[in-house]
Amino acid sequence: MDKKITIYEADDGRLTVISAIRIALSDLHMSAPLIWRLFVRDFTAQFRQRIFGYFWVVLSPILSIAGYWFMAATGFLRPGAVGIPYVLFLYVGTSIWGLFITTMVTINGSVLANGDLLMRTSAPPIALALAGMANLVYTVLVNTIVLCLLLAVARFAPSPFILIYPLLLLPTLILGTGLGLVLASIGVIARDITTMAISGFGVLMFLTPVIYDAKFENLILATVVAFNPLTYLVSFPRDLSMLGNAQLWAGYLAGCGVAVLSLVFGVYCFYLVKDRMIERL
Amino acid sequence: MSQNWTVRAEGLSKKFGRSLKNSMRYGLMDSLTQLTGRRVAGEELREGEFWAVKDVSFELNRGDSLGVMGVNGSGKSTLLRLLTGVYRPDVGRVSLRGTTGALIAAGAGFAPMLTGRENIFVNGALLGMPRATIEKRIDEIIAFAELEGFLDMPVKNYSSGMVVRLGFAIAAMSEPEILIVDEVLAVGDVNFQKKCYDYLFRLKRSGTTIILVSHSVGAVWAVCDRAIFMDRGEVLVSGAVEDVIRAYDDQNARAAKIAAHKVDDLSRKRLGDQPPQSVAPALDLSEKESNFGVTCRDICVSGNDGDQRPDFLFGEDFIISATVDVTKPIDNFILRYVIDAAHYRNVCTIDSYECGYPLKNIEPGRYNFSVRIRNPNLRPGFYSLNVAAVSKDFGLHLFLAHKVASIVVRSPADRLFYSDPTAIFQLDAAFHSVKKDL
Repeated sequence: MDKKITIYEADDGRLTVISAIRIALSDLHMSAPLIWRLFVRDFTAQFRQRIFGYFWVVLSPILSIAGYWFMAATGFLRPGAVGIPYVLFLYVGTSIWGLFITTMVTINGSVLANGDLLMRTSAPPIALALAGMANLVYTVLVNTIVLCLLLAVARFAPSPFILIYPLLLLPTLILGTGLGLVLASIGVIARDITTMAISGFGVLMFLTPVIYDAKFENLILATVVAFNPLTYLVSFPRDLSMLGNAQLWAGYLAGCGVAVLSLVFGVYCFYLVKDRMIERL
Repeated sequence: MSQNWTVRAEGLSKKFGRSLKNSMRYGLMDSLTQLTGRRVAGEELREGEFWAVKDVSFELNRGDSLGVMGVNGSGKSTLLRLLTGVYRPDVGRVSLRGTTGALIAAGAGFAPMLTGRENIFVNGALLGMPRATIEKRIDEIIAFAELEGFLDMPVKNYSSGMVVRLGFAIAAMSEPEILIVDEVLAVGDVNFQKKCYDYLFRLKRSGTTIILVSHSVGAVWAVCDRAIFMDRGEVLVSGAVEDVIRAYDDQNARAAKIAAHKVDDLSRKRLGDQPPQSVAPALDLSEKESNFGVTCRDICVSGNDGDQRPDFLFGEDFIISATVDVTKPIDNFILRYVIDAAHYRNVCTIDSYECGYPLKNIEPGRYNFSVRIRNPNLRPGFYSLNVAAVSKDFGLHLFLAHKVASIVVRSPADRLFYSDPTAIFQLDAAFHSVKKDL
């Protein structure tokens, strides 16, 4: 008999970063149809029994824009000279930041939401963790379309780099995925870790040029902003796509490096503690 | 070791923390240990941990079917999760040769807002079935699940039976070389159950190795050739399915006895010094006094040899003896034992008058009454005894005590009682058949 032999055995503690990445790629390749099917399931299910149906995807960002416009109109926020209409500045900044946070929350939430499947089927955990991400890709596309509509309403001519705007968000997505996997690995074992981490990232938003141009005179704050990779992952796509300004390219590249490293670390962490995670679901 | 093996479990062990706090603490500690590149030692129990599965080994060949039996908490589900790769063993290994299918939670992953049809595709993908296969077999799935007319209805409007039927029907379309089944054979009505059994028998005939976890003695007996009986994570008995079923039944009877005693103790503690007789049994009769001149001091059950024993083989004679103090003369005295089974009360009475032993009048003194039960036809299980003293001339009980003794009837080696775990009596019946032409 030359049939496939599957062996499950006690952990030998020899998982390396390379082998973790290799297993993850193999798992994702094998379960691509499953991820797609789960995406369709979650996407379809979330719009059932709702009055606005699929229109909700567009309506949600439009409502948030209205909120930003109100804050700017009342003078509650004084962002300084941002170079582009403030509503656009806000919308792009919060979209990118929102993508980062939503990615982390989605990855962590997918593991918990699919706990039953993890306990009862042999579907690879990473496939179930990443299945929710398909929704994020859709969110990016919708955000881009809404951005184009906003540009038309504001009669602001963006740079030609607007065409690659979704691609410029990829490092943010990767960083969110990596950190999401780390959070999922630890967060399932100690549930409050995720809440603490997300709250921590809420503070970090104010040290990132999301809703205002974070140019602090305080040396410590300025240093934090300068060394914060999210500064570049948020500012560079916005500057490049709106103004054609690539001044922050070096920081953006460094941010991309950090994002890739976080993904590698996240995958490694996830596979390292996957078994303990499932036992505690 | 056979060269023809399909499933091989070698010294499988898995431990868990007893409390969430321990589980979280060890989980974080172990994760940090692994992150720093060190190995977590799984062989030793730490404080607050226990072995959910301990040192389980077996080997199955193509076409073998193994039943896994045990009371709740015995480690069956953990063993199944080890076999399906959901849990990683702390010690040992499991090897599976061939494609593996698991019927563990029929309907897991169903989205309630989606229709049955939409969920078929999701569930099929979860079971590793390509879309083309699902499309090709969707009519079979619908027919198997008996859900014609309901397929385009949201699953949230299905009954629980319909959900599980649909889940089983999807899983039944896969034809694995190793099938692991967990308690899903009690799904739906009789016709659907028959279909489920037919599916298993067909797979078995085609050489699929089956591992079936079930509390249903009948299901295990019908499907499996071999079985293991687990208790507290360990394999207590392994062998031919009938031997294991006997051991399982006996263990259940013993467990029922222990549980009954625990409940009794707790009831007594809860109700204080004056327990109502219908609820709180007084196993210790020494302090129980009657106001009507009769007090039963002791009850014991013994075998033919006179030795007190907690259990008896099916059909084995036993003797019930009672020490009774009588403090005033009583006319037309009757001593009565009433037997309760695990699931039913008052299943039979042993009454001195009915047994042709009238006691016209008894004088004050200490008496020892004994009654021999010949060829008792109580089926294997746990039974408890209530004792009552009455008089034909007195409307009330002179004395009454519940659950004063208990017996466990063990399975005989030469017969298998599998048909109904709640049945009580085995009538002395003889089957006979004559063939006639149709």
